[in-house]
Amino acid sequence: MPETTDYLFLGLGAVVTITALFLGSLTLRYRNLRRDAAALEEIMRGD
Amino acid sequence: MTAISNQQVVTTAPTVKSVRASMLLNALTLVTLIAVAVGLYFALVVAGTDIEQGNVQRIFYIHVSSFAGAFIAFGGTVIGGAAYLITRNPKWDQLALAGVEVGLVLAFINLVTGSIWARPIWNTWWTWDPRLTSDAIMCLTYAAYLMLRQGIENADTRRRFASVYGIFAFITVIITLVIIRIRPDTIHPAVIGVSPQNAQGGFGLTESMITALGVNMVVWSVFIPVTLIWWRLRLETLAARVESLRIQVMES
Repeated sequence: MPETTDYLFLGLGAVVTITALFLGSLTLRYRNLRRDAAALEEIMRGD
Repeated sequence: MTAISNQQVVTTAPTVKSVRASMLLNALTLVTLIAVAVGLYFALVVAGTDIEQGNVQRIFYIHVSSFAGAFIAFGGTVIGGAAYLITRNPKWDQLALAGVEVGLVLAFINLVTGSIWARPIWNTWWTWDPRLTSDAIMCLTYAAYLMLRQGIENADTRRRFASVYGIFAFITVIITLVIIRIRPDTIHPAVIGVSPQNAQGGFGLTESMITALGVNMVVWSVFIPVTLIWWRLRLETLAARVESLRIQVMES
């Protein structure tokens, strides 16, 4: 049986990395929008 | 808390409906995380090791299933696009956009894991095989969807264009799916049914392998796309709220 375990771990690492990048991007965009919403609410309250 | 501007009322406090939706989404996320762990257990422990390929064959449970997930997500784009063209409700366009983003992530996982599997089995990271080429074209087609959306200023035009594009882009998914059945020169093995005559790296599925594939198919084509699309829709809902607030601030 050929020893290909390293490639299995490489594949799993790639799956984790791609998923983490997407989830990180979602989180970052969500945070930015929350900040924008808070700032806009603050402006409206001031009017 | 409410803010009044120009005779319009914007409610920024979470409603009972949105709180319930958040709780449901959190519960679904937890279930999905457990499902992913179960899927990995079946792929890495329960399924037997392939004698000819060794442990790298286990990537195949994620590789195949992630394509199924991409298929579902891109299918959501078709549904969202068609429903938007009929109803003109922006919520459907949000679904279409979420489907493209999530589908692209899953398609990219499919592409990268396939490339990693190919290195020890085909002795190359990449070859311009019909299946690999159509898969790459599919990814580029949906990446172009995201880029082209950004370039259209008018919201209605953008949504109409994206809806039509999203429906026609699905042709690349169908081609990628069936190309190993219509192009005999492909070296890509078929998982279900008879592999093409030139296929390299095919394998017979034992009972434990079929079980592991079935479990991962459910995880990757149901739990993961639905959960990720829901999170992405939540982001889009917030973006729409911010846009609405911005308009009101500018008008006041």
